[in-house]
Amino acid sequence: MMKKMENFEKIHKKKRIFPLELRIGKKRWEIQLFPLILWTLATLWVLMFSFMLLWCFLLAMKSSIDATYGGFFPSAKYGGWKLSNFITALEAVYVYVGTKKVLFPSMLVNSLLLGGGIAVISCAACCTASYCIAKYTRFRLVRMLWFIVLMTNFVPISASLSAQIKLMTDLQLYDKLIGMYLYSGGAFGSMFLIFYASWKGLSWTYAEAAFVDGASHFRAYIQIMFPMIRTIFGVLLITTFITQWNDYMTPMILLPSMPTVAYGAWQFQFRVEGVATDITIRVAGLIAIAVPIFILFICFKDKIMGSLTMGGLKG
Amino acid sequence: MRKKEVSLSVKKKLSKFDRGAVIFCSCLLTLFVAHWLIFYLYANLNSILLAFQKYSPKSHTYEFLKGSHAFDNFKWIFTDMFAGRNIGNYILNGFLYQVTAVVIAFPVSIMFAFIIYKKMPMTGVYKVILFLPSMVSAMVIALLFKYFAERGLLDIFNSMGMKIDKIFYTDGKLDLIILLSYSTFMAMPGSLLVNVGTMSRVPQELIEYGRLEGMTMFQEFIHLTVPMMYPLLQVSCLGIFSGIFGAQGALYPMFAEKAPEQTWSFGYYIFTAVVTDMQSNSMFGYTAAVNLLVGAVSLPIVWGTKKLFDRFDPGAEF
Repeated sequence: MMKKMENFEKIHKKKRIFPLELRIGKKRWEIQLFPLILWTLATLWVLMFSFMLLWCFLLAMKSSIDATYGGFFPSAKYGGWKLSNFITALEAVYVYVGTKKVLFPSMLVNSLLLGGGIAVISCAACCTASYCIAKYTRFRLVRMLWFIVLMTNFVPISASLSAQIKLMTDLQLYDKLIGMYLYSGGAFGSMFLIFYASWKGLSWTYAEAAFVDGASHFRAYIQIMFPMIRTIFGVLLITTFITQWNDYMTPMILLPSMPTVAYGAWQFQFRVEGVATDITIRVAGLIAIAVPIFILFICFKDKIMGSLTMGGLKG
Repeated sequence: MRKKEVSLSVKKKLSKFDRGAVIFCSCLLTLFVAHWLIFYLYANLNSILLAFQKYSPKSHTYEFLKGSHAFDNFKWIFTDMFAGRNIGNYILNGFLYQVTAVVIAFPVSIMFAFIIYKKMPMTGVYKVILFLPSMVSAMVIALLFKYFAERGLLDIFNSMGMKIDKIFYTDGKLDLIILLSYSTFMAMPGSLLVNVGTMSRVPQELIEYGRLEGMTMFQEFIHLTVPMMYPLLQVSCLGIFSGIFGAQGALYPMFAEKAPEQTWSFGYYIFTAVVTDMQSNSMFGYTAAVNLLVGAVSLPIVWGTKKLFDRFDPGAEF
């Protein structure tokens, strides 16, 4: 019987590698296979992406000859580190609107006007609409507006690009800044859901206390309720601004007379004359327009990532 | 009498309050509803009507196609699909762009979110780098990749013994493989923050109970995390299959209108048709008809996907 038990143990006792026990001094870690594989995949992704960015950054710092004949790093033999490439790129970025040449400073103003304006209008619209629908549910008509939210977010039908251009032309809003502001003033998009979740988590007793003190509904919203979600509003404002800053396609199609920095930098990549033929200048131009957004992201990353992480979706 | 007067005055106060609420909601929501009616409902209806119209260069307006010509735009689409241009290949390429993102990148994005949610070593830095593609312009990253592929990647391939002259504008399949790899690679971070946020809502008590019972991380992921975030997965997947017809990959930012034809997707073909034709408007009816057909095909796909997901819903709640 004992022999049978020993044989049974020999057959069925498997030598397992994972979970791997790692001991360094008094500390002990248990490493499991599944998270190790995932962590390795994530590390590989991060390394590959970072390598690509580093390669491009170093290319932007080289001279034209160094890019062809040099090594991985800029070589002193071919001119060394050329920080002037960024300035050359920004000076060379221009777009023709008809016969008028639009330079980088004008494009910068256009980007700020467009990005800032659209961010403020779209966030304010979503915030206000979601407040009404989240807090005034005792009115049947307000509850029925959920149908609009569902249609906008979950029905896979959208007006074709050509229909949108035709609509803007018919309304005489095509190629006008006010047209872009109106076009982006929709209140029932994806931001609505984030604001709605925030309003639902906020107690109505704050507004009731304001009503008892004689405040109107508008005043209760502006002075009591809105300041409580100003962090979420600020985060979405920044992310919307970043999205508009990066968008080269919508201004190209709907606002061609006001080229933005993103459109100018994109156009620059396909030019076949002047400094645009030098790949190092082209890459420097791309990096130059990405740097402000990168700095903005680094400054506000905790707020952006913290607030958007808290949102989540319960389902 | 006094009780009646008191109750009447109380009722008047309540109705005055409600009147204020009605005025407040009406003033604000009327604007937004009007915007939705014009820029969503009217735009979609206009798009449907545009599918049955053709631009007349003589009158510089859109005229309805009448009689037997009413469906000319749709006939044009099917002619292109089966007898004219390589529309079938474009749809297949769009399918490949979308499916590689769904089958490969989407599960990986959930897994990346899982290790960040578990706060594994160095995931604080990984979170920032994985989120970077969402912040920096997709156009910038696509173009940086294009230059990297044309030079850096080419050098890497040649140093590995693969004799390749160029990456793009070859006659073979290399362009498509590189672009598919790029689309899949950049789709891997996915909706990182929303996924992490949803995973964070899983009750800690359940995880602790599982640990006491000897649950491994893999078991936690399969039996706890994924069922708890099933509604999010369902919502994410609803639009994926309908995106087959609109998927462009990174073609337009990388190549403008001059992408190698073997890499074209259907979405890219339609987009370039509109953008390059904005002066003459002759393709607007055609593209509107395409949009209508895509919508008609997408609705049952989305409905079917939802039914499929509902069938396998584990029904986990917290």
